[in-house]
Amino acid sequence: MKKLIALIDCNQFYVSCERAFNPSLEGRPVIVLSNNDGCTVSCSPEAKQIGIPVGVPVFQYRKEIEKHGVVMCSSNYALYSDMSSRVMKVLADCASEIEVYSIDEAFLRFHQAPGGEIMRFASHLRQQVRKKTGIPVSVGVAVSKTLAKLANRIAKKNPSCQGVCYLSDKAQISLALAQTAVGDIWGIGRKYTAWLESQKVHTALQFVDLGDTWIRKRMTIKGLATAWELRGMPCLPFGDTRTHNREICCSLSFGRPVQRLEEIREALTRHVLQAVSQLRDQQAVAGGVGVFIHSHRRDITHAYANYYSISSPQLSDDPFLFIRLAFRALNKIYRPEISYVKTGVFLLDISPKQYLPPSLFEEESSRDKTSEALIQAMEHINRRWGKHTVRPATMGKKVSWDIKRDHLSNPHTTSWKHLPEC
Amino acid sequence: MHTGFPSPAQSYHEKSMNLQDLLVPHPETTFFMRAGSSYEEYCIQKGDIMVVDRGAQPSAKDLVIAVVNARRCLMRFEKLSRCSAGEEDAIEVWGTVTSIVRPMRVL
Repeated sequence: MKKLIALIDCNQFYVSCERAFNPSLEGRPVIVLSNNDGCTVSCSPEAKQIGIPVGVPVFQYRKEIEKHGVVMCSSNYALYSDMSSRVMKVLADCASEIEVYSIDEAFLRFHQAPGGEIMRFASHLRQQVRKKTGIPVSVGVAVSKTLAKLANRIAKKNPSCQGVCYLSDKAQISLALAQTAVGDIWGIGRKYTAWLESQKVHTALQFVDLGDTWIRKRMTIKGLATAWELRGMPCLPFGDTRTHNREICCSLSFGRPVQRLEEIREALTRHVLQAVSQLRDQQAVAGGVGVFIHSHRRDITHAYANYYSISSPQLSDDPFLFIRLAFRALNKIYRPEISYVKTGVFLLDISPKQYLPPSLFEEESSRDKTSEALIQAMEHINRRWGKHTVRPATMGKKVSWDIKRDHLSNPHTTSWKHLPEC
Repeated sequence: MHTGFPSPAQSYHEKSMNLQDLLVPHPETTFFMRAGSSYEEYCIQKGDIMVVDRGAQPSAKDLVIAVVNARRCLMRFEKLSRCSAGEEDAIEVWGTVTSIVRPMRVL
């Protein structure tokens, strides 16, 4: 029995998350903004219709926003990430194999059922996710990942598909390929697109008709895999491609330029806490920390960017240790005359906690260690009372450099303090 | 090293009860909401936490969170199906209230 692949993609995911808890947003133009409320990262169809695309600076569209009463939301990643895991769990219940591809996309693999069952299954997926999480999705089904991706695009673009598209036979596939520009093929980047266009290869159909040796020679084995996938021969591996992170990075721009060391330390403290919390979630330990800071790139007279890393005396998941190390690294690169716009931290040399070797110099380093009980107590209190309720004093009291999130909705699903009301 | 007599209760050990299992059997489809006002007819007080399962199929007597004309409201499912029969209102069942949690002191 042949296996099929479905790509499930959430429609305007961030906007849909906001709408799930705020029904008054339904039917209105809504845009979700990036960190610091700078660019659009998700736009409702109503917003796209009045000409606001994804990925543009929001200030350029002030007029449209005012004229049409567009609702702006700052990105609420706590909410989006929780909603994403809910969508993925509902999907995982519907098929035996799932590969979570991004925050709002997943591949499912299942055995082909006879007759019209596929369309029924695809619609069922769509209804289940919509009903159980409130998030609308589109479903594309085909024999390979690349074709499923293409089917999904068609499902999204054509209202007549009702959110579902199954590329079942050769004729359908050829038609779909003929209507798809090479630049819209999954796996073909901008550089290859420009080059293919210059070779008079404009549609996906023209691309798959190229010879194998020609493609392989110019576009490596990856390009060839894409061509084969489009011809209906699955080549890409299926499965959870997420490997253990070797590095964790947390960074954020300041809401305004910042000069004082103290303020940068406050931001760094917060980034280290965030990074270590991710580290502990994946039950891993890190062996070092890297810190970077930079000024505004347009500030030519004082342009400055630097990075410094320090390795830790032992593999650890202790936030206080990494805060101390990060400060030491910061001291190496901080220059008082610079106005900084961004700082961030890397945790380095990450490995699973079970491999943690006992330190040779345990006695010596134990002075440096925070008790695990203290860290756990802090985590426990913050889970219950909200992030940063208990925090290292180096994080400061009131933050004046914080990123701009003027239109932030509540963390409806992750904080008892912010439950939606009815 | 443990050298004492093995506990006679050992083979009877079962997992302790857990409210999560009772109130939230389906975590991925369950959301919490706070009652914004008192609903005396349903014995709900302002501030109560409502456990809402979006995956549950409501029956007639169930309390549901409905979205009527872009506003959330709380009502019996049977009442909802009655009022949606004739009118042109946009009505959607958001989820089924499966439990009410009422902390008796400030948490």
